[in-house]
Amino acid sequence: MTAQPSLIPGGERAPKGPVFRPERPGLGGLPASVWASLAVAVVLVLAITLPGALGAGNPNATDPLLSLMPPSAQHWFGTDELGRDLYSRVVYGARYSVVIGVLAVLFAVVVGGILGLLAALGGRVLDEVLSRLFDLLSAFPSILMALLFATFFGRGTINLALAVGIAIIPAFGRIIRRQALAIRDSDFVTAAVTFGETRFRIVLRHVMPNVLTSVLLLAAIEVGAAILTVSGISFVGLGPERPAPEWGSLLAEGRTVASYGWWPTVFPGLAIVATILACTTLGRYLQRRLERRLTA
Amino acid sequence: MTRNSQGIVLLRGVIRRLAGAVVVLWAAVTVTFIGIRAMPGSVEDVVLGIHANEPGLREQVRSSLGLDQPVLVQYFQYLGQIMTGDFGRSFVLRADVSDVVFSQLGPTLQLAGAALLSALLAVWIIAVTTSGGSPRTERVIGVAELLAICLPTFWVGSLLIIWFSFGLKWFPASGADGPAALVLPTITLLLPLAGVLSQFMREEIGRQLRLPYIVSARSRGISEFRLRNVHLVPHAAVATLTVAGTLFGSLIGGAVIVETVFGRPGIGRVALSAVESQDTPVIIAVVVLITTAYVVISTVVDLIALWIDPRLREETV
Repeated sequence: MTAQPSLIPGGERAPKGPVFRPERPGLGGLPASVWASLAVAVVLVLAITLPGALGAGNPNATDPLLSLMPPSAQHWFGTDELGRDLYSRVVYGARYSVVIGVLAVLFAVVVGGILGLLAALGGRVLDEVLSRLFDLLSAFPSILMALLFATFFGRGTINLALAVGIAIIPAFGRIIRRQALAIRDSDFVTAAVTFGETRFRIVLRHVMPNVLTSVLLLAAIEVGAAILTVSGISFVGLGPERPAPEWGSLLAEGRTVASYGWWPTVFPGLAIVATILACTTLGRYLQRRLERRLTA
Repeated sequence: MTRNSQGIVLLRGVIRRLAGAVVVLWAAVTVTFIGIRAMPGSVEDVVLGIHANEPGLREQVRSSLGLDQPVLVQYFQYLGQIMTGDFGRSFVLRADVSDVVFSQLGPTLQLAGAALLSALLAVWIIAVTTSGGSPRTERVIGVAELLAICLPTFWVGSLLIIWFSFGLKWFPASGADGPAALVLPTITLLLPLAGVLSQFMREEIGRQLRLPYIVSARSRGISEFRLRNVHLVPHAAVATLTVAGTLFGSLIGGAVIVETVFGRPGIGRVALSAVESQDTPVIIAVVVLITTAYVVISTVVDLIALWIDPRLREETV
């Protein structure tokens, strides 16, 4: 064993889950990882709103003479089988992957919020039923949900966002239920009840604002997870129709030409990884900040 | 509490969980039934394909599939069939759905089993050797876990193929022939599993390390190796049971993706090609099968927890 842990319960070795890791402050008091994540976030916003500003051309312009060219000064990420510029495709891909991921989380926040509040304030039977539902939904593979949606309602951006969003509902439902329960039993709500405010008004005025912060932080983390799921579903062929340059679809195209070159696989994957890491890092950092503020 | 009344409480807990399992299954079957009704396009069109406009055939298909009956009658027939494991015939493959699905179950179970076992082994080793270590080790492991969870399986799989199959030519790039073909898919699928499990286990072990029973075990002078493997890991493992349901979901979802990456046969491939051809009976069968598996696993896990941990029995009163 490298280090001998303390024998004293709760002794000098405080528990250090990954969440409570002390970090070296960098520029402006923010760690370098947070700066990197912010940079990724800015690039993503640019890619979605002004792809031209990032130097991306037409993502669907083919050039048979330039099929499968390795990265060069002209084509930074190389070209694919049809001679399309991979850099432009990856940049435009953010419009699909990131936007669908964000839509999925928004849907989950709204539905999860409503169900969570119902579970907390709607009585014991409803609470039990909804908790079971949350268990089931969080375990049901998103890919299968997307499969069912594609079968029953057809493919499409919105259907994909809904299919992915359903699996995230429990995450928000549970956190909102827990917080609503804690707040319901708090003194200021008791006071509001004493003053004869309606249930609806108490939820709106007193419970919601308190829950909002933690929901926003969770949303940041879940957007990363949602993008991972969205691109996975596109990868297996249940995403937006071709030639939409969704990142997962790009990887699926890259897989078919993997024996000819690495670049159609490597670059779209890097875009996904950078996005997910940025969302997770930002979300976790803000969560730590919040917890520190609450304990201080 | 007397021994007898404890038994009754235990029985009540078991019954409640079994009833919950039945309700979930019923709900899944009912939702799929409603889903088929809400589908755009008709079942007859899929079955008939290019013969959709031939006179008389449509009625024939409707009556042979029972579509001319009232919806409620259809619903109960459907419910009865599924309860007896009869999912009808595939529209496209012209074979019994149960045969199609069960013949493809083997490769998927092989992959999922291999990934789960190796993930458990890896996490055991990591948790035993590194928990309670220096902050630097913790930090490195923490980053590794984050990467394992965040890296897309379909990307990792493709990179492994490019490197180990096309580059070094160590393993086949696709198929499911022999153990060599199982290596890369297993590595791909185990990474996210191991990441989640390891985060959970290390946190749990970190918590347990400070509990009184560890102090008393240390004071009896048992070796650090024995302490960790015999006392810590089993305790933490019981707590890990609570995430078994989520793990199951990511295992199945991951298997579908990994099958696509490596061109392996399996349940995922069957389901995906069924979506392409709108072969609803096959899709339903896969969904019901996986829901059943989840319900069975989570019920068994609940019951195991109930059996191991007496505190849960008191809660059910």
